[in-house]
Amino acid sequence: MSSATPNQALIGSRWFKYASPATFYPLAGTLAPWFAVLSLLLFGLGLYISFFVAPTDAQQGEAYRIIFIHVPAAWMSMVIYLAMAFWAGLGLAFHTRLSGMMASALAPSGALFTVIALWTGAFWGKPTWGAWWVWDARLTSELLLLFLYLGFMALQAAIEDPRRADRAGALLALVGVVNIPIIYFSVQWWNTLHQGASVSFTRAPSMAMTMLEGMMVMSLACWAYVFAVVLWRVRKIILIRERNSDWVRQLQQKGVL
Amino acid sequence: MLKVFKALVKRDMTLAWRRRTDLLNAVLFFVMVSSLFPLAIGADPKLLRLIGPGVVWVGALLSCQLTLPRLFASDHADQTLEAMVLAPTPLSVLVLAKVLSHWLCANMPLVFIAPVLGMQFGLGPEALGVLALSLALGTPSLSLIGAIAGALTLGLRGAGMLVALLVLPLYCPVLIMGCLAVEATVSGLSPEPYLLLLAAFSLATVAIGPWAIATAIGIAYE
Amino acid sequence: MGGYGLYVWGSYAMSALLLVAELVVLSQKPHQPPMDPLEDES
Repeated sequence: MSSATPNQALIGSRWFKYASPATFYPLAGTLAPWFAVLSLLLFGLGLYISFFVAPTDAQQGEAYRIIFIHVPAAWMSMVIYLAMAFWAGLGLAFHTRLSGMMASALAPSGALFTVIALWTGAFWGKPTWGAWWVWDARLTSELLLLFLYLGFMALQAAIEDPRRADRAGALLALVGVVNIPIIYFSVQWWNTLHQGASVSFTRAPSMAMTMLEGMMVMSLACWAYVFAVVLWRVRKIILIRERNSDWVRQLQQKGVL
Repeated sequence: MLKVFKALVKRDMTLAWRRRTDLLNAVLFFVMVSSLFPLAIGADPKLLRLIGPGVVWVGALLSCQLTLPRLFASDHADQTLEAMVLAPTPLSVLVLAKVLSHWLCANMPLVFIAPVLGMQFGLGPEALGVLALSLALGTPSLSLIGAIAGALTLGLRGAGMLVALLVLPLYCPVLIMGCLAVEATVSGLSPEPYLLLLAAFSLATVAIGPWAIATAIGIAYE
Repeated sequence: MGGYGLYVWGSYAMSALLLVAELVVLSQKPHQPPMDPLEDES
């Protein structure tokens, strides 16, 4: 069972019981649908603001509306990596199985949002700068972030023993998270020196209030979506990892699974 | 502890010398990869001078990657690595010794050959010097980061390819800084900020790397 | 979309496609490895 005693004082026994996969599984099951509904509502609101409330941009016309999916996706890709590294570190430090499972559950979602950020970035770049890919600092950093995600997933896929896969992935995620700021700044530097101060998606001169609102709501929508999806995915991981434990077998016998 | 460190460095370098064809192959790979680019892109001297620093750096990076899996694989195969894990000397010290010998045997030759390749791309003497210096300052971090990946992938099938996938994004800052240093020299500016950053990054990886590598080896042996 | 339709719809369509694809993959029953009563789960 969970090694409760030394950590109980830190975390508080009421929450700490959820560190066990057996107790977290039903909790995730009840929470996920709420987040799903929340994300649907927020996406609806966000898309409404993005397409019907926010005004047309003076310079970029309607093409700028891609920002309402591009920026939230880019934010999510970075936040998810941080979350992944957080759970990875927790798992390495406290040897908790569930932390490793959370990190593994987060990775595909993070990679997905990185792909969305890259795709929408390219589709934004074509009408505005004339090319599908202009080696903008942000996009290049996103590309490297995608490689970090894929490397994490490849490493975990290559290791059969789930405990070793968790811990090896965790170390890799920590090495990655330490390097991300370094990668970001060196790419920024590389970009400014090679291209001059020309292309930058971050330069949105004067943002109307509604544009910011649109991005915020869409970001929250993505948050809620990721919560739902990751909780769903971690439940599947728990079932596979804990398939030999009593509570899983009971669920299978009851025909619930 | 110092005695063990020196003994391990000596042992690894002796073993590397016995397998010196492997190292020679990596150096040959470095030379050949660099020659591929003019063949692929064209030999216009202006163009070559532009791509030269990048091509040589990428070649060095790829060549370094080739020799990385071997760093721990053979010791893992004959269980010497397991003995190192159980030894009284801290694993990070032993690991540092191994990485040091890897750097001396696999990367230092690259540092010396790079200026010759740089000449093929029409780089001037100052640029060649900075090229060699940037490689000398940058390759320690390449060895250390690569060693982390090598330790994480111990005993896995396809470990060589996996190591490459894992380290390439992490190598980018070093690659960028190294190339910027040479390009700065070519444009007449000072390469100092980039060289200092390379040195700082290498020092940082020397400080944290051995611990990470030792942890990774521990994970593989749990 | 003022002539930018391809890009705007292309972006949102792909994003929606990817998000839905993620949901589809998640909703598939995993290929359960056979239960091993003798396996020692640490």
